[in-house]
Amino acid sequence: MSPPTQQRLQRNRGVSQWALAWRRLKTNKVAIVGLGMVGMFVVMAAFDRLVALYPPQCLVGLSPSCPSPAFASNAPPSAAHPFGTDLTGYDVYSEIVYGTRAAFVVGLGASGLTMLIAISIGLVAGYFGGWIDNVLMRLTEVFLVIPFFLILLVFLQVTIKLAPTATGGIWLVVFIIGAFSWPGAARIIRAEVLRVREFEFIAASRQIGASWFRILLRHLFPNVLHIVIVLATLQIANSILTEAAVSFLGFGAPNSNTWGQQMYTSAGFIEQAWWGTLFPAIFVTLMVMGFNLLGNGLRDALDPRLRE
Amino acid sequence: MLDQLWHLTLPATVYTFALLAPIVLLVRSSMLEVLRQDYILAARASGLGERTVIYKHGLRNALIPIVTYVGLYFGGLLAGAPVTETVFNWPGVGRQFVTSTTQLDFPVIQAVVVIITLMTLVANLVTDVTYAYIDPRIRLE
Repeated sequence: MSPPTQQRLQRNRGVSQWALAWRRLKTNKVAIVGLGMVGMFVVMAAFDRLVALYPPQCLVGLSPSCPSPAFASNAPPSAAHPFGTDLTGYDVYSEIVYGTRAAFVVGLGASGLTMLIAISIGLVAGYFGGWIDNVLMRLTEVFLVIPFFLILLVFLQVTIKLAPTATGGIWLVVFIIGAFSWPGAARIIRAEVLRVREFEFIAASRQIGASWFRILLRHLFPNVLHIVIVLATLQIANSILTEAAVSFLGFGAPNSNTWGQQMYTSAGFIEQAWWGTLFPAIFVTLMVMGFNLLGNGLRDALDPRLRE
Repeated sequence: MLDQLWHLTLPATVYTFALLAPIVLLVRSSMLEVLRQDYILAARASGLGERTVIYKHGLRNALIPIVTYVGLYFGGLLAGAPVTETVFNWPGVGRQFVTSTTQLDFPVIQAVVVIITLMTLVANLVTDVTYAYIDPRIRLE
């Protein structure tokens, strides 16, 4: 056969839904900026020893592993310390870089836990309906009404008093943020499940005898995945912000070094040494903004109503 | 009194900006939905001024879902903003809660949590009732 006919006979692979969504996302300039910001923070977290100027928690000038300049507490921004030093003498810029990992741990951990609970409850409540739906929605409302920020403060304070030298404190923060943020997401997922379960392929699956578990996992879940992705991204931003707020008030997890805690230690000197509080705050803002922009862009890119 | 107002401007402005953005986005998307409806076209066709069409027919109908969200936000507002109050040293319930949590003053902690939960519940209830009242398509069963 001639080459053109041969080419036409080759199977056309087609484009997947994800490729289409990625194409739509790329045209959204704001979302790409958000993606870029998130990417920058990922690089900061992964290569923190390379990006930072000094080793972690190093008393510059005093400790032998810390190079050159003289020890300076609360020193203003200069050539040796681009963001100045804080009360203890640590370089603010390096401390910020080392705190990026903690921020990601909190964001991803809390968001993952929230989505796990929200997906389970949303899928079950939406698919079964009836009294199961009723009970789960009342439970959701109970969690929605409790002011979880205040509960978080109390839990952390009790933990700090009970075990001041504990090391895993940050996981408690992750757990509590995750355990209280699921109601909003669960309601949205349930609404989407109510829409998807009317499709004929669900009825067909039921007809040929698929178990409810199989229908939930293999048929319903992939169809609510687009909403789950958007909610997870926005929840990461929310969790980081909540953790920063809690640490800033002084209730941070005992032995972790997060941006909120850096703001807390420098907050008393905000008049003389504004750089200790300002720069961690700027980085928190940038990270949360990056995830928010990305989440909004993903929502526009994955919305089924905009499909061509 | 005037002194209190003067000290109130900065915290109030900061807190307002935080809540402003989601509401603006909501109003925008709600208005976009409503302005696509047929009755807007009918109102324009019957010769009403543009301002009447947008405000009286468009905005009024768009406000219905917004009222629900604003009601929930208002419940959250009453929960106090511990962070804002601590930063601006404003003597409010939020700052009081932070101080008493630091000292593990349990009666105060319990009282504040109960009160704030009650206020949020009442705000939810009022929102639901208002929603049923202003939307003629829904009637309380």
